[in-house]
Amino acid sequence: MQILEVEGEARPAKHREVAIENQGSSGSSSLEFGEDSGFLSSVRAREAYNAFRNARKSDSEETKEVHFYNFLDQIELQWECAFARTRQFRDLHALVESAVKGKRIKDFSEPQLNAIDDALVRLRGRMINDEDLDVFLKMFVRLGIDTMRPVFGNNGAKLYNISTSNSDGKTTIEISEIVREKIVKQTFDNWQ
Amino acid sequence: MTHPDNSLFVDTSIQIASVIDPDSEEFLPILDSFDRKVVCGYSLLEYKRALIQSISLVGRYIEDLKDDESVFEVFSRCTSQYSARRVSTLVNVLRWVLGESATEPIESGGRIDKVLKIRAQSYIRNAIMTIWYRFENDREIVDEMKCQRRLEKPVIRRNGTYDVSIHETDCRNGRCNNANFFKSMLPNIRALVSDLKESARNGTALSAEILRSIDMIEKAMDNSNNLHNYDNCLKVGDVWLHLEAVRSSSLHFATLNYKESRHLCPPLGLTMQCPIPPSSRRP
Repeated sequence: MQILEVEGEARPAKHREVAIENQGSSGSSSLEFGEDSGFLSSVRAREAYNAFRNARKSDSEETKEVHFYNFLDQIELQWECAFARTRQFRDLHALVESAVKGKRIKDFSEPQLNAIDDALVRLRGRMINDEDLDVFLKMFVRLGIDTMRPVFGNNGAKLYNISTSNSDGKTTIEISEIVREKIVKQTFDNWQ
Repeated sequence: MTHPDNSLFVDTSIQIASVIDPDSEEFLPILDSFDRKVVCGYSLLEYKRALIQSISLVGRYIEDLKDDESVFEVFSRCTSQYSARRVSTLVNVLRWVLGESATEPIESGGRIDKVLKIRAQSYIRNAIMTIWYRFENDREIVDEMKCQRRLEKPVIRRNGTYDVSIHETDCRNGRCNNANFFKSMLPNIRALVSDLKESARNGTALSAEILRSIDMIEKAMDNSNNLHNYDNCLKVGDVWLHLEAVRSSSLHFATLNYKESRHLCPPLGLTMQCPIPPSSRRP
């Protein structure tokens, strides 16, 4: 069994370490084999939609926030049963999650909330095809909904250097952040 | 305050930087000070080469993993074929899913590892198409070159990865307009080459990219059909963007690509707009 141990420091740390310990064959997962995953996924999609709707229609700011956090929880939990769903479903779900995770409802404009609402309606249904997904990708871009944070990071571009070392059958991967200013400075080294 | 000349050509380096870091204080003041912002279609090809292909490769690495291989194995592939952008993509995805200070042991092929794989693939697929669609958003596009490669949208494969290849050999069919555009801009091109050569004679060190461009431009002056070749066309790359800027009637050229643009802009009557050097930033 191979164990991966992830250690790290909270931001703004410049280093984090990932230690890999080789211990034999792979582990197993019950995720993709769960008989009820499809049903559970549908329930989560419906609950996410309901929580989002409740957040939008609530009068008080506090209730709005409570429902919105409930919505975010359902969105995160959906990944637990995502193996039971199609690629298109997972991608649309990922698009919504990328847009809303770490945000508050007041961060979105009405048209943006409408677009997220439409996506949640589609996620409640069974069939999503590539054309449906494409419509939402374009719509989110047009409305300026930021969905790039999972790939580009939460606070703008960060680049990383990695180096590996091996000892006692254990592989350590060290990841260090390249400070953006330093990259810009390199550009300016040849500046006259 | 809006700039009086009001028209800004935005080159690929700024376009890519604004996708990666949309709230950057580095170049937003420049973009905000112009009402008309122009990009050229040819930039989409550079977009694909510089950004989309790199991100897509991480998706391919994950797809190629065997069932018992961990998503962390991708790091070793990124190390052996080093790319800071690819490593960054994967680290960002891991931080997004696991949080900033994950300490939970991750079993290879286990629940968390499997979820990591499918989530990473979804984020990467969405990023590829989002980047593609964002190119045209809120920008006016000029396209004198009519590059056919830039029309090649990423295509989803049956295995869930995107085909983001560039069909380079098709350039030989000559369906684009680059040779005609080159001929129509010959007076500007001659003035540019003459100016660059004069600068070199006076001791200015020109970048390897500019020297390659001059060499290719001189060959194309003899026979513009030489430009119906992917590699030859790329050699003129930076010059194409500046010529498109001139054709779009822009007087200002926004770029992070100082080494080339500081030499290419003046002879073509363009004013280079670049971010504030770090040394003059407030602490």
